Amino acid sequence: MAEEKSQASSSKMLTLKASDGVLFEVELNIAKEMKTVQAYIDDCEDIETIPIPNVLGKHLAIVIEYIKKTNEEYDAEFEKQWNMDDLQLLLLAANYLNISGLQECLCKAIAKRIENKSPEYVRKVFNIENDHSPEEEAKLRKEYKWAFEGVDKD
Amino acid sequence: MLIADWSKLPKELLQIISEKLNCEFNELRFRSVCSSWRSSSIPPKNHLLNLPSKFPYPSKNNNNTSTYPIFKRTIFLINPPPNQQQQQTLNPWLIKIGLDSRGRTSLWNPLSRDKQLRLRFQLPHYFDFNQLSLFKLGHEFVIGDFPSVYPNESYSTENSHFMKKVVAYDDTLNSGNDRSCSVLLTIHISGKLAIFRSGDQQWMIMPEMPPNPYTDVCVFNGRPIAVDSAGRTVVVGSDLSLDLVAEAVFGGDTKYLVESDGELLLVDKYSNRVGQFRQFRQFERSDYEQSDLFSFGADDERDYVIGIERAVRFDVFRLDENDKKWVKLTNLGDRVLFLGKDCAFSVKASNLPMANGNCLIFRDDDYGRDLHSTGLGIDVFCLDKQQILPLSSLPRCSNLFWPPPQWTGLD
Repeated sequence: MAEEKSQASSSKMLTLKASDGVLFEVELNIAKEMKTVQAYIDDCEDIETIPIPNVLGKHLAIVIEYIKKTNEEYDAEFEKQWNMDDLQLLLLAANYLNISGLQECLCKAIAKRIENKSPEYVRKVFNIENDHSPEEEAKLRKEYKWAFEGVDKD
Repeated sequence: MLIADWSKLPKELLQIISEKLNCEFNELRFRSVCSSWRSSSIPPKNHLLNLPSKFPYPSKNNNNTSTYPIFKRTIFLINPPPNQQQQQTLNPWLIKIGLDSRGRTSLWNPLSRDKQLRLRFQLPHYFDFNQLSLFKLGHEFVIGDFPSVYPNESYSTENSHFMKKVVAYDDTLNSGNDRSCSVLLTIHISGKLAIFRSGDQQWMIMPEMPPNPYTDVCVFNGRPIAVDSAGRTVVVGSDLSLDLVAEAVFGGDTKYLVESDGELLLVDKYSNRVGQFRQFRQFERSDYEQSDLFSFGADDERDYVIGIERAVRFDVFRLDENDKKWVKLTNLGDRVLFLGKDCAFSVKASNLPMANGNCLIFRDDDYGRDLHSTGLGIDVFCLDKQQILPLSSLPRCSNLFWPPPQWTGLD
């Protein structure tokens, strides 16, 4: 039994359970990239199934795929496939699971999507309410007059 | 499942996103979206907020009361909208933009203090920044009122022609928790360094007389650095002490500092004197002493002689911080260095786009320039051929600057 265990430890499998009940079997070294999961394993060595309550199966699948395939080329293409909603949920997943590489990649992707867009456009796309007072808004516009002048009225 | 509520994203994530925006222009837009985005991002540094709006010129006698406004100008590379399909590749546009002394947004020659075009002449809506990607290449601070392109006027006593490059950085010594303090660093006519801190009324000329006059200053990794004409490079401490960064290389006549790919480079310019002229002087003689630029007649002569210099070739060095030495670079690889009067920066040739990097784009001083020349006065030094070519001989490169590309609608 002990021999089997030491042979299998390099390819020990772990089960991750997403919030909607979907199960994923992953190799230990993949799961270890998720620092949150690593901490779980450190606490209870014998655990086989780890619950991931904040992440849907759909997104956990994407995260696992990312960890397996990540490299410069993959990262560059990775973010292009997702819409804004998925991007946000993936970012929250990466944040919860504490995967710094994925978090960086997604933050960069979001920054790229909002670059050069007007604040009004950003609010529309991200569904955010402008809660600045009119005085604060006027002050902001004054601070960098020409930054707004070039912006299209959308 | 939750509908994505972006305003409630954890602050640490919003901060990371804001840090990845490529210029302060976009950082400001980020901060305007809503209050939680605003409070999650660090406001872009604006040194001008901590400094007066007008400055005197640095001078040893502090009697001069004339002050001049300070302007910040930013250099951008603007890429055409990606959705336009044309057979030929659309070239980007390299511009310098900033306010003129009458508060109008204007375009400036990227490498000099001359004006290029007043943006308002064209309808603003042609320039839809939403559709374009802007890449900030650098910025500069200029003190003084600006003349037209004609060199005649630029030698008047009211102009800032003798102001050298000005850089701004955080005053770590005096900044409290809430207050930010900024410092300006420049080179006085005598070749000594001059400092202006938040709260000062006059420039303080640092008493230390270097063996050679300082020729350039820059801020590298937040630290103010100065180089003299022999290449000896120092860092200015918060207590105004000067610490050696690299020993002199001697070599050519003027040294410049450029940041490129995260490292500091030294550019050594070899010049030939091609002529000279006399000019009425506006400062006390003691200000000019020990400056290589000027030679004097009798004490009471109110004029001096300026040499007209033209660049002949350049050497480039990279910094070996541990050995405190400048190490010669024979090849810049994909990089193109730009040397402006008040700003220096580096761009990858593939971003410009240019076929080859390994060259230096610069502009000789205006002294003695042909009054009627309408060109930008920009030249290119190719490191491999060790040869200077006028910008016009490299059309792809020349089109970066002027005229405005077709897709801007400004031509």
